Amino acid sequence: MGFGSGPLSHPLLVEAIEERFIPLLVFNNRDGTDARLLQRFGEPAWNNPVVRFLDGRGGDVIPRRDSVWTGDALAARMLAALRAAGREVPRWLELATEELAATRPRRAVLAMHCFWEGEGVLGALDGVIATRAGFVGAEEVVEVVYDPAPARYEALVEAAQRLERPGSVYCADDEQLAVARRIAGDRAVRRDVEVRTAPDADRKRALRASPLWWVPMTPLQQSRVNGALARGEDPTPWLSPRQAALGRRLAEAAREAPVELGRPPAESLADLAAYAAHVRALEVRSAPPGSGPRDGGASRR
Amino acid sequence: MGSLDVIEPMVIAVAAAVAAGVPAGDEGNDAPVELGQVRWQRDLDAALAESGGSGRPLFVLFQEVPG
Repeated sequence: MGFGSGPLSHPLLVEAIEERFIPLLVFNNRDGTDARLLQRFGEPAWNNPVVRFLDGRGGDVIPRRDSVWTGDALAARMLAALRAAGREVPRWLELATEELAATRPRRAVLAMHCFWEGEGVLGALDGVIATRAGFVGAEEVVEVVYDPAPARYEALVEAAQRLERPGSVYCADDEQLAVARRIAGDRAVRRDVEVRTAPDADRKRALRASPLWWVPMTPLQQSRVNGALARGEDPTPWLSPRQAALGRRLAEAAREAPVELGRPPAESLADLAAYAAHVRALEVRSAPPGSGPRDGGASRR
Repeated sequence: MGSLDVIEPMVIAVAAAVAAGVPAGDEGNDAPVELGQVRWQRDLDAALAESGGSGRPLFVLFQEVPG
């Protein structure tokens, strides 16, 4: 994936570039103004892409760096530039950076009395990238994908053991088993289990009951928003302003009548064009009479 | 990644594009792929003036097209 089709097309990074910075393009292979700007900033022609962060006087906010072409590296530079410029660093951009940086996540499987509660609690923990409610045999479990920074597996097991009637801790290797044994005792077992996914209605229970369910999010955002809603907290710090605005519009529409947009976004990523059409149609139908066409595809019941 | 339904970053990107109101994939953005989905400005002096007024830093992409 190239720089343009990857980091520069990631919607959360795009939103941050457009809303938290002033995006400026300089071609490094054209004459005229572009060539003069290359000379002014000492940039080579016909080079690989370079991003620089400048203040209002044209000075570098953070030192220039070459070969920053991955999403996590670019996002980290954006955070650094915002901090260096004394600007607010939005939580949703930090979250996107964390998710992009988790290139080698690990998996944990933890059983509990109720996976609704389990997904809400575990999905809110630092380092958790995604969660999935399901079953191992008859036991309710939550499968957690997490960024394996030190102590994070330990924190996961500890949190699971604080849930109501904790169950087995299924350990994929001896390293997990050693940690889990210290915390969960005999409930820790060395077994690389397959998790049978829970019925849709039981997954991300708190998020599914909210109009935010219809807002496209990354898996990590879904975990955090579900966790916040499960605890009765405000989920909006985990959402970009554009996502939050869509959520507000959907909530307003849902107050008038139950809204059915089609398949939920997280489960229908292969059919996003249709989903986007549903959302746009809903917006048209929510608009005052005469303000737009009414031939959208959304159904309201 | 583990056995979760792993979603490729680009697919995630397209998903969030729906929320962001940003053209996704081939839904109408004719810009060269090297420039991504960002709506770029081209006037340095105007961008510097805007930065001076708002405090927002410039995000300057030096890029070759075709790259």
